[in-house]
Parts: sequence; C-alpha cells; structure tokens
Amino acid sequence: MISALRRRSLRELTKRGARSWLTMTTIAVAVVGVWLLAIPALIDDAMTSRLDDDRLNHVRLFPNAVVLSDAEIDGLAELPNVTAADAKIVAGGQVNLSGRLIDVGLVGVRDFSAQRVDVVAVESGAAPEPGEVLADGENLRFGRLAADIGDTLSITGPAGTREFAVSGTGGTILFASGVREGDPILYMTADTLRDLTGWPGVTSIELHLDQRDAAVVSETITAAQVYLDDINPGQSYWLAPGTWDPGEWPDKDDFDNFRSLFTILAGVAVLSGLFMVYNTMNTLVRQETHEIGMMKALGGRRRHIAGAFLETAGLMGLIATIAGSVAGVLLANLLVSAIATSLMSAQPHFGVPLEVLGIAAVIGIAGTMLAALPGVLRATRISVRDAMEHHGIEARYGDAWLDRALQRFRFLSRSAQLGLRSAARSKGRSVATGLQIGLAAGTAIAFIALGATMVFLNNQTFDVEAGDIHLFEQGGRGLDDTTAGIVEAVDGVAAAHPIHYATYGFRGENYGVWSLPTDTVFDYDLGAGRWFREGESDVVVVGQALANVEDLAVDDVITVERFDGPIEVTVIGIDNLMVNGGKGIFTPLTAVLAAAGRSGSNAYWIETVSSEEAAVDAAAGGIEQALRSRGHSVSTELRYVERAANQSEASLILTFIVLLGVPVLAIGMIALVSTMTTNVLERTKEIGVLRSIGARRRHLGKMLRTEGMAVAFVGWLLGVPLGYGIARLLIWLISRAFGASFPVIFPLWSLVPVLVLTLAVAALVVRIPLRRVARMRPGDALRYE
Amino acid sequence: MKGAVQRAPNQASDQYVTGPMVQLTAVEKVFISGRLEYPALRGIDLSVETGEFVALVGPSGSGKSTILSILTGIDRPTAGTVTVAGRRIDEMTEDELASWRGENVGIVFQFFQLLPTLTALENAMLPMDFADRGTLDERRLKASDHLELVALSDKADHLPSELSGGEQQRVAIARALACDPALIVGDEPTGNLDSETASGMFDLLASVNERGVTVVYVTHDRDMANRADRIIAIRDGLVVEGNPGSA
Repeated sequence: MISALRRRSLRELTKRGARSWLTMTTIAVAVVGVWLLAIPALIDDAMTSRLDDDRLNHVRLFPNAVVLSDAEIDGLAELPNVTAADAKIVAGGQVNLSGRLIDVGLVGVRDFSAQRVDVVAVESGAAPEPGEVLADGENLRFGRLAADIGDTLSITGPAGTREFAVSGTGGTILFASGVREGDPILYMTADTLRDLTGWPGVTSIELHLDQRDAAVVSETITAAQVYLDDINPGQSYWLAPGTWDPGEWPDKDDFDNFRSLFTILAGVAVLSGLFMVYNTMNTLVRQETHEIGMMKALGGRRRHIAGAFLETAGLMGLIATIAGSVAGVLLANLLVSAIATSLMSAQPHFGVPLEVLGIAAVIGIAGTMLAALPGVLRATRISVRDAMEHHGIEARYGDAWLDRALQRFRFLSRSAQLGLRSAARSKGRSVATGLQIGLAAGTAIAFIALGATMVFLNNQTFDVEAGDIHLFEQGGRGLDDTTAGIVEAVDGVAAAHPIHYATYGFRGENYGVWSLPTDTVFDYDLGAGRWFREGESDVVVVGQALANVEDLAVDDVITVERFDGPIEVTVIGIDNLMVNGGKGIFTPLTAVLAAAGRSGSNAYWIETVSSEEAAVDAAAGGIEQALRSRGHSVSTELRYVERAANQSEASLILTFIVLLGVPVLAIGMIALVSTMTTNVLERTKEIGVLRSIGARRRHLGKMLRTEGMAVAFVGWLLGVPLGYGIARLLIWLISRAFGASFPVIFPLWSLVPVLVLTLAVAALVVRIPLRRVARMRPGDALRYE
Repeated sequence: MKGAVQRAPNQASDQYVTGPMVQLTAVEKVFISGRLEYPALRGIDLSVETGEFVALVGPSGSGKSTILSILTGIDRPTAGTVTVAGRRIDEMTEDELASWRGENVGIVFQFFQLLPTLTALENAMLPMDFADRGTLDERRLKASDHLELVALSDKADHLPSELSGGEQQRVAIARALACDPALIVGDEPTGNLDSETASGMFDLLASVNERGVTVVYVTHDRDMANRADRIIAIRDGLVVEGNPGSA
C-alpha cells in the first residue's frame, strides 16, 4: 500500500508528459556529458590492451650483432623472472623515393608466426616473406612514407640496395611510437635484413619479465648478460639497457598529456550538464507552485511536500540516468574507438568504467534532487494564497526599460515583435537559458581558442627549428669543420647553421640538448634571464617546463650528466618556447664541441635559396651527394615533409577537440529546445488566441524563431566572456599538465561563426515546439491548463 | 430578420451569396479526456441569419461555448456540417481556418485574451497584420478608428497591464472589428465585468450590429440575453428553444 503522496510522485511523471519528458531528456543529456569522463579510462584500457597484445618488452639489451641460435634465444626465457624472450635485428636504411633518399628504420623479425616479445602484428595484407617488407601503419598516418600493398621499394642498407615488395601494414608499439617524430619503419624477416645489412646476428634482445621491481629487474639483466657472455665471451652490451617501469610505455608522456586534455574537456561537459539540471529542475518546480499551494491548503506539511517533489525529481533522475548512461556509454566508446584507432593504433574493447557509472548516478539522481531542492523549499515557504494564485512562471511585461526599448523596434514584423517581446517577458528564464546557451557557445569559442593555441604551439615548436633542410651525421665519418663550406657550395643552398644535438642527464631524467652558436638563427623567446655570450662555457638556458617542474630559476647552479661526466652549469635564462615539450636545454656550441673533442657539430639547419619543394629536394640531393663523395655518412630531413606530418598530427588533435566539443554544444542546444518548448507549453492558451484571430503557421514560426534567436543572441553575448574565461582555464590546466605556461591565442574571428552557428541552431530547434503548436487545435489550446 | 444578403468571405468583393450567416446541421461534438468521453453537442441544427443579434443561453456545461467554438472553427465537430457565410469550414485545414477566421470572424473572449506584450493599438492591429491587410499606415489608421469607436484612443499606447478590465474588453472588441468581419462572436464577453461596464459593452456590441455585422454571444446574464434579437437556449447539448424548428 503506497501513500497518496507517493502515488502523486509517480503520477506526476505522466500527468504532464511533455514537460516530464523534456526534463528527463535534459538530465539524460547532462548524464551523457558525464560519460565523457569515461574516455580517459577507456583509452587507458585500449592502451593496456595494445601493450598486452604487443607484449611490450620490459627490458631490452642492445648487443652488437651477436649471433644467437633460436634455442639460445629461447634459453633466455628459462632465466629466473623472465617469462618470454625474443631477438631482432634493428638497423637504419634508406628508401629511394623518386631519386630522393629518405631514412627508414628497418626491423628484422625472426619468425612472424612465432613472436614472443614486441610482437609485430599485421593490420592489413600479409606478413612479409623473404624479399618483402611490412610497412608500419603509422608511416602513412603521419605522412612519413606512403606505401601500398604491392608497391616496390628500393631500400639501401649497409650491404647494398635491394628491391622489396610491400606485403601489408602492421607494427608494434615499440617501433611505431617513434614514427611520429622520427623515421618511417619497415619490418621484414630477420634473414632478409641480415642480407641487407651484412650483419650476422641480432642487435636487439627483448625480455618480458614477471617481477618489475628495480632490484629484481637489475638481477635479471645481470643474469641475462652472464647467460649471453657464456655463449659469446667478450661480446659487449650497452651498459644502460632499456627498461620500462610498470605503467610506462613509449610516448606515455604524450599520451598522458592527451588524456589530461580529455579529462578537462569532459569536466567542462559535466559542469555544463550540472548547470542545465539545476536550471531545468528550478523551472519545473516553479511551475508546480500552484499545486504546492493546493497541497498546503489540504494540510500538507513542508516535509511532506518537499519529500513528494524530491521523490518525483529522484524518479526523473533515475530514468534519465539510465537513458543517459546507455547513450553516454555508446558515445564514449564510439569516440574512444575513433581516437584509439587513429592516434594509437589500438583496438579498444567496449567498456563501462564503474567509477563513471557511479558519478553518472550521483549527478543524474542526487544532482537532480539537489537541483530541485532550492525551488521546492522556496515554494513551500510561500503562503497558501500566493501559491494558489501562482500560474506557472510570473511574466510581467512593460515595467522594465528593456520592455519599453523593445517597443521601439517597430521596423520588425508583428510576429517578430511578438517573439522578441516574449523573450523579454520571461526575463529570468531567458537569461537562464541564455546562460546555458552561453556556456555552450562559450565552450565552442574556448575550444576554437584551445585549438588555435595548440596549432600555434605546434607551429611555433616546429618553426623554431630554422632552415628548409636538416642535415644529420649517420655514424661512420661524421660531420666536421669542413661541412659548412661543402654544404654552402652546393647549388641552391643559401646558408648552413650548425647545431649539435645531445642528451644530458639531470636528476635521474634525460633531457634533449641543443648546442647552438651565440649568434644563433634559433629564434629563442626568453621569459627570464639572457642568452649565452661569446666565450661562455658552463652556462645553460632551460625550457620553461623544465624550469617549472624542477623549480629552476636564473642563476641557479645545477649539476648535469654530460657525455663526459657530471659538470656544474649555471642557469642563465629560461626559454618560453616548447622545444622538447618545454623541457629543452640549450648550451653554447663551442663548449660542447670542445668537451666532445669535435671540430664540427653533428647536425646543420640549412636554408635553401628557394623554398619550392623541387628546389629543396634538389638541394638535399646535392648536399648528400657532396658529403658522401667526401666519405661522410649523412642523412637529410626535408622540413616541408616534416611540416606536413606535423600538420597532420595537429589536425588529428583538433578533430578530437571538435568531436568532444560537439556533445557540449549539443547539451546547450537541447537546453534551448527544452526552454522553447516549455515557453510554448506555458503560452499554449495565448497561442490558441493567436490562432483564433488569424495567426497562421508561418506567423507562429516567425514568432518562435525570433524568440529563440533573441535568447540565443543573449546566450552568445554571455558566451563571449565565458568562452574567454573557459579558454584561459583550459589552456592553464593543459599547460600545467605539460608543466609549462602557454600563451592564450583567442582568435576574434571565431566569434562570428559561433554566432552564426548559435543563431542557425536556435532557428532550427524551434521547429520542434513549432510542430507541436501547429498541430494543436485552437480549441484545445484555449482549454489547456 | 435584418437581411439575407452578404458578401462571401474570401471571394471577390463583387460576388455576393444569399443564405444564412451560420448554418449548423446535425452537429455533434464529443470531448475525449483519458478514458472519459463527454458528448458536448448531440446533433444540433442551428441557423443564424446575416445581421442578427443572437444570444446563446443555458446552464454551465450545456454546450453553448462549444457551439461558438464550432461556428468559428476553433473546434471541429465530431459529426455534422458547419457552413459560415456560405463556406463549409469543417472541411478546411487548420491554416486555412486560421486565415479565414482572421478575415471573417471577430472573437471577443471572456477573459479578453489580449497579447500582454502588445499595446492597445498593436492588439487592435494584430488580425490585420496576420491577414496582410493594407499598408502598415492603413492598418494603424483603421485600428485607431476602432479604438476611437470604443472610446480608447487616448490609451492606444498602453499595454494591457495598464488598462482596467472594461478597457481591456473594449480593446478586445476593437481587435474583433479589425478586418471588418461579417460575424462577431462573444463568449461571455461581459462575464468578467461589473454591471455598469458590462452594459456599456453591450451598447458597443449593439452599435456594431447596427452596422450590419452579425453578432452571436454566449451569456449567463438574463438581462444581457434579453437585449438580443433572438435567444437560443441550449441544454444538454441540444437546442431547446429559439431556433426555428427546434422543440
């Protein structure tokens, strides 16, 4: 037996079907927003799954082409703590693309059908037979190398040049992760690569471990080296074997930054949803004031009444949470599928993170009840008489200056005047809806600003490296003090600027170092301190992220691990650019070359006379030829190719920012539909009168469109400062995730498309209430309560 | 009977038809609310001639307001035919009806039903706006004339919230006259007014009728009903008195 009050709670849902549905739809959309929070967790799962599938090594040893039989490699798996072992040949080579040589990474796999660690999976086509190669899927994705199945590639290795047919695409995360910022990767059988390199053995030994504690890992490495020494006494291995800490994998930092971005964007969606739930429930409860008066007149006490309304709110929240969660789970999984396959080459599994389900339930049910509470308490406090005389939302028109001002808009048609004045009539609700739309429009503006900032940073990071061609030494005879002269003598070359790339250790981490001349072409942007001067040696300029993370300031004296041992250097400047993720270190070139005992740097930024692609290609070919003919082993990187890869990556990130922005925008627009429909429901009788005195569908359409667009315009106005604020917040949060401080790029042009879009969507969404109005007979409308 | 010749609405101005202004034949109306079916009209035959001043009377729930809704096309009959000024309005679409109503029928509601965001003048212009009658100046001039007729020209710029109940109802009559309709209907047009204001209102409706406009109104007030040319009594969805041929 349930009480009359509880029965009322249940029947309330069906009594005003349209309003209940609208409210529940609004809450459900907010719940969908909550599910965006599932994206980082689902991406994590997808990545974990990819790591499991690829069986990413935990320890990697780098022997110098040691000859090991299959049985000897398998024997490594018998060592304590080793669960699986494998070995590969990894070498550098070059592919001839229409006469231009591009560097590639070559990976030789012992047996594609029986891989144990760092498994190279085939995505399309087939595993390569002898004389064939498998192209890494990332090659094409980042514009590094376009090779279709069946294409023939001419590949040059240490032992000569061979022709290879492309058998398919595939890859493994260990190597694929390097494609984005490095060379394209090609996989082939170990025997094929042995033939191309002339190397007898393997150059990479990968171990998959059971225990991952540092001490146990160290013991395992020692045991493996002892095992290998017994087989090949005197064989040297790199002293610092590659290891992955638990939960780490290649490019995890980039992934974490990306995940932070998603978490922040999802947070904005949740906030927007919460505001909408509050707004909707507040409106709903205010419409019930008359009924609250009736219940009080019949002896209902405040707690009874509040309980009954909260029960209804809870029920609505429950239904909306279920519906919103179903849609949210689908949306989140769909987005993750798109993100994981395009950015991470991972195949995500369908998932429902329970913690997000909990948040959705809390926001959908408890949030709805809480949102209703202020309105319910307010309604229960007013007198019975006032409550009984209350009919929906009070809408007094004519007193405010705005009302008077609008009456001067006589140039508008009558229908448009009616719409505009109707918007002004329910000022409170129009502003609340405007705020909701403002949040959506503001989010759109903020997303554009975020995108613009990301593109700016991306381009800035790219553009700080001057030149049209980058020249690198490749083992063998490196570059020296004759290089600049040789290069500058090549046709089409304007200038060659030296740069020496190295790595320094600092507080247990490795950081990329650029050693540059005092009068460098590198366009540094110092936030503090100064650039180094002629003759200075033990000084460094550090990137802002490194300074922030390691709490470094100008004049700090720090100890860094250089290739020749630890040295003390003074921090003399902090650079604002995002070189090496803002964690770059810059040192005077002369000091580093002196320490390394070199006469020249290991790389050059080369400016060509013309930036035309053909001219750059020709100059690169000329440089390679000129240096190789003098015995230098070099490779070149064409900046226009890198720029395209860079833009492709930026576009992908922008696409996903937009993809996430769409649900937030949708939430705002559904709020507009909800408000417009509620407005129409409240004015049903008035619309009946309009129909009775000759208003046709087009008149009502114009009226509702004007009203909707007026509210949307107010929303846009509110959205501009909101958007600026959200953009600042988002960029601040993301820059914190990077440990840096990003500039805020706020493109003013973005206000125009967002205004057009907001007005267009507003004009479109009013068709929903219009259809209802047009269907309604005037008699029914006049009788509507 | 004051005349049986009228101009047919929506037809060329030089075409005239003869016949009653309103002809309801075997009209039934059943309202359905949830599981409840409520027969409001049970087969009514009713005729109102052009230029007549007719009062519909009857107890609450008898169906008199429903008759007004049916003859203005605000509601559709469940059965039967409705002919107004020579046109079968029960066969029109909603949009055709809205357009037809705006140009041919003036409605005065009990609760005035003025648009709260429009001034008195704008309310009086509204049906002309919907019907695209004349230029904006012509509409304004005509609406001003109508406000003058109801003695409200001095309050043309006032919003409904700034007018008394009687003044609002006078604006409603000015609005009803907007498109020079052949028929004016009033659903308890004085029901919300004090007796003095109500009497003045009736004088106004009578003067409109004097100009040849057919007036049909619903009232509970016996004195107001007695001022009509003809009283039609409705009870339980049937005409019980005042209609030729009725019981």
